[in-house]
Amino acid sequence: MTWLKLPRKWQPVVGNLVLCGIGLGILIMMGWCLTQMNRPLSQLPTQQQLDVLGSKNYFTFAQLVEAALRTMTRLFIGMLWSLAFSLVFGVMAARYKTARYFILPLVNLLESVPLLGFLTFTTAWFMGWFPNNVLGVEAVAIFGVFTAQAWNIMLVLYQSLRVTPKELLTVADQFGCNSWQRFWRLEFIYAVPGILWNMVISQSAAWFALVACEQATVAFPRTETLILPGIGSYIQIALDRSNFGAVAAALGALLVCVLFTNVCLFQPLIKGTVHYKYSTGTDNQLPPQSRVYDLVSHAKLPKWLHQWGHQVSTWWLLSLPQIWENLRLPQFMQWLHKWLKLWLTLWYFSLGCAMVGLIGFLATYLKWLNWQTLIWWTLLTTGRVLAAVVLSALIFIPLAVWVASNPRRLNRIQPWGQVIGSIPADVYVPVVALLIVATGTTHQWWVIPLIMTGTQWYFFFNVIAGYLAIPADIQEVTQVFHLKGWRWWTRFLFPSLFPYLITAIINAAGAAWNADIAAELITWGTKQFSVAGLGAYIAGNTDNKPAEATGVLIICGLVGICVIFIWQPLYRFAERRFHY
Amino acid sequence: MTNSELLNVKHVSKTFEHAEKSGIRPVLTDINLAVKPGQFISIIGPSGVGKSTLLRMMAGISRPSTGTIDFAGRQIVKPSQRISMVFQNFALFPWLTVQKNIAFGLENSRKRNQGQIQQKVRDLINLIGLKGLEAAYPYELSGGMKQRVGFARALAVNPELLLLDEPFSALDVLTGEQLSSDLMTLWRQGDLNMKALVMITHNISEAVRLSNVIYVMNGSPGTLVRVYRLKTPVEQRTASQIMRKTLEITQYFKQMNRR
Repeated sequence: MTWLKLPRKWQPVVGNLVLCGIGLGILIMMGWCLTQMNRPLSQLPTQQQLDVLGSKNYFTFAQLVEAALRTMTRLFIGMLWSLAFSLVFGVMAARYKTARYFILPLVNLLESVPLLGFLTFTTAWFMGWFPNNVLGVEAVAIFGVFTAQAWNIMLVLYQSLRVTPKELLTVADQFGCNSWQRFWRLEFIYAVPGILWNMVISQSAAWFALVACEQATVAFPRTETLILPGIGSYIQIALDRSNFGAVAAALGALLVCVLFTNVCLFQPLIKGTVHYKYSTGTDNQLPPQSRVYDLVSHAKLPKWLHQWGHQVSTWWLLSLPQIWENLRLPQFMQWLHKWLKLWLTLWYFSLGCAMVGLIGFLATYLKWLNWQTLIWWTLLTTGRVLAAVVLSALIFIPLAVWVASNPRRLNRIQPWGQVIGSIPADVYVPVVALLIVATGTTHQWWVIPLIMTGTQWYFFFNVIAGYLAIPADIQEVTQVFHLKGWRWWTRFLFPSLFPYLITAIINAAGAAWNADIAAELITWGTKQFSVAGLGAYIAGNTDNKPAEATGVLIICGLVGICVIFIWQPLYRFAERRFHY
Repeated sequence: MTNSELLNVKHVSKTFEHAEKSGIRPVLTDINLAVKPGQFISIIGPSGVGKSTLLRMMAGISRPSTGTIDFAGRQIVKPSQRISMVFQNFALFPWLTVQKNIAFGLENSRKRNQGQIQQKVRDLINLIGLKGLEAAYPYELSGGMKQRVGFARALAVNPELLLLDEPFSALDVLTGEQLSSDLMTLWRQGDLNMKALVMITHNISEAVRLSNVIYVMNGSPGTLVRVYRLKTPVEQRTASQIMRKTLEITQYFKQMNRR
C-alpha cells in the first residue's frame, strides 16, 4: 500500500477519523432510520400518490439515497438479530443434549426451505404484530435477512463449540473459570473467525432476501398498495414503469451498499481476527488485505475507551453470573430437565397437530386442484433446480481450485469475489428481463442461469475454504508421489473437500429453491415472462392463499425428504471418514 | 497420612467407559504416590500408559474412579487455585498478547485490581526472560518463548504445587535444556511460593537431571512399577553420574518390555 503512505504524525489522526467516520456513520444511519420506522402506516407513500406525482419526480437521487440507507439499516439490524439468535440457540444446542434434539433437525429443515414461498404469510403475521405501524412492514424485511443468516451462523457456532481444543478448555478449567466465563473468554472468541466467514458467505442470501421482501411489500395490502422506502421497492416500481434508467441507478446503489459493507465492515474485521485461529502447525497462507484496517490500526481511540471497556468486561464476566446464581436459575434449569420426556412428547404432539390441521385446511381446497399439472410442474422445477446446482458445481469447483492453488492469485481475487458474491440474484432479474426483450428469446433459456447466480457462490467460497484447510504436508505428498490428472481429482481433491462440498450443496440447494421462485416469473412493465413450473405457480398466486400454501408445502416436503434421507446421512458420513 | 505431605495419591485407579464401543477400558490401577514439600517428582513411562491421565486427576480436572487424591489434607474435587499446570503444546490463547495470556489466571477473581495484576505480570516477565515481548502475540513467538509464557502464566497465581505435562518435549534439545535450567534456578532460589513440582516426561535423561524422585509407570492398565530416589542434590550431579543413571533406567525399561 505504498501509494497511501502517510507521514507518521498524521497516521493516528487519520485512523481516528476513519474509525469515527465508519462507526458514527453507521450509528447515525441506524438511528435516523429507526426513528422513521415507528410511524403509522398512513405515512407511507402509496401507489396512487405516485401516479399523481409522476414517476420523474419519484426517481430522484435523494429518494435513492434514502432507500439505500434504509435498506442497509435493515441489513445491520437483521445481522444483529442473527447473532443474538445464534448465541442463544447455538450454545443451548452445544451444552444441553436435550435441546439438541429439538434444535438441530429444525434448523436443518429451515436452512433449506425457501423464504420467498412464505413471504405472504410472514407479511401477514408481522403486520398483525404491529397493527397499523410501519414497523410491521420493516419487520418483514428484517426477518428476511434473519432467515438468510441465522441458521448458518448458529450451525457454525455449534460446530466450533464442539471442536474447541481440549488443551485450551483445560487451561480455562484449571484457572477456575465457570462455564459463563469460559464461553466468553474462550469458546466464543475461538468461534469468531468461523462466524465472520459465514456472515460473509451468507451476504448474498441476505441481500437477496432483503430486496425480495421489500419488493413484495409494494403489493400489500391490496386495497391501497403502499411503498416501503428501500432499494427493493425502488427497483420494483422502476420495473413496473419500464424505467430502465431508474433500475440501473438502483442497481448501482445496491452495488455501492454491498461494497461499503464489505470494505468497511467485513474485510477489516477479518483482517483483525486472522490470528484468532488456534493452530499447532504452520500456515502458509498470505494474510488478508484490508486498506481500512491498515488506516484504522493506528487510531488512538480504542486506547482511550480501554478503561471504560475494562469495567464493562468485568461486570459482564463476573457480576452477571452472580446475578444468575442469585435468581436461582441453575436450579430452575435442572428442574426443567427432569421433565424432559414430558417436553418431548408435548413437542411432537403439537407438531403432529399442526400438520393435521394444515392438511385438513388444505383438504377443502384440494378438490379444485389439477393434480396432473401440479406434479408435472413439480418435476420441471425440481429438474431446473438440480440442473442449476450441478452446473454451478461443474463450473465453480474447478474455478475455486484454480484460484485457491496460487496464494497470490487468491489474494487478488478473493476480495473481489466476496463483493461480487454478495450481489443478490435480484440484481440480475431486471438485466435478464431486458435481455429477453432485446434479444427476443424466450424466458426458458434464462431461468437456469438465474438460479445459478444464487447458488454458484456457495461452491466457490466453500471449496476455497476447504482447499486452504488441507494440511501442507498432504499437498506435498501428492507432489512427491506424482499424483496427476484424473487421479489427482478423485484420489486427493474430492475426498479432501468432501465435508465442504456437502455444506456447499446443502446451502446451494436451499438458495436454489428461493431463486427459483423468483426466477420463474419476472415482470417488466406490463409484460410478464414465465415458464411452467412450481415457482411460477407460487409467485403467480400471491392472492390465492390456499394455492400458494399448497405449492410451498410441496417444496417443503421435497426439502424435508432431502434433509432426512440424503443430507443428514451424508453429513454424518463426511464427518466420520473425511476429517483431517 | 503425615502432615508434611503436600499431595497424597491413595489407591487411585481410573477406567474409561466408551459409550460407542460398549466397553470399559481400565487405564490406571492402584496408584500410590506421595509428594512432600521440597520434592521434584518425575513420572516416566512409555506413551499411552496413563501419565497424563494421572496428572489431570492431580490437577482436579478429572476424578479418579476409585481411591482419593488429597492436597494439603483435603480431597481434591475440583481445580484448586494452589495447583497450577504447564502444558506440552503451550496452550496459549492465540488472540491474547503475552501480557494478557500471563494474566489470564489472575483475572478470574472479583478482586481484579488492574494495577496489582500489571505489576505482577511485569515482575514475572522479567523473571522468566520475556522482557520486551509484552505486546507480542503467540504466533510471533518461537516455541521456547511460548513455553516461557506458559510457565509465567502458571506461576502468576502463586501455586504451591506445579504440575508439568511434558513441558520440554515440543522444544528442541538446546532450548529445552536452557528452559529447564532456568526453571531449576528459580526453584532453588526459593523466592516463589512453590513447594513441590510433579513432572511427566518420556525423556529419561531429563528426569534424572532435574528430579529427586523418579516413578516408573508401565503396563496396561498403568501402574507404578518402580521408584528411584536420587540422593545427590541436583546442583552437585556430574554429567557422568547423570549418564550412568540414565543408562541404568533405560536398561530397566528394555528388560521390562522384553518380558
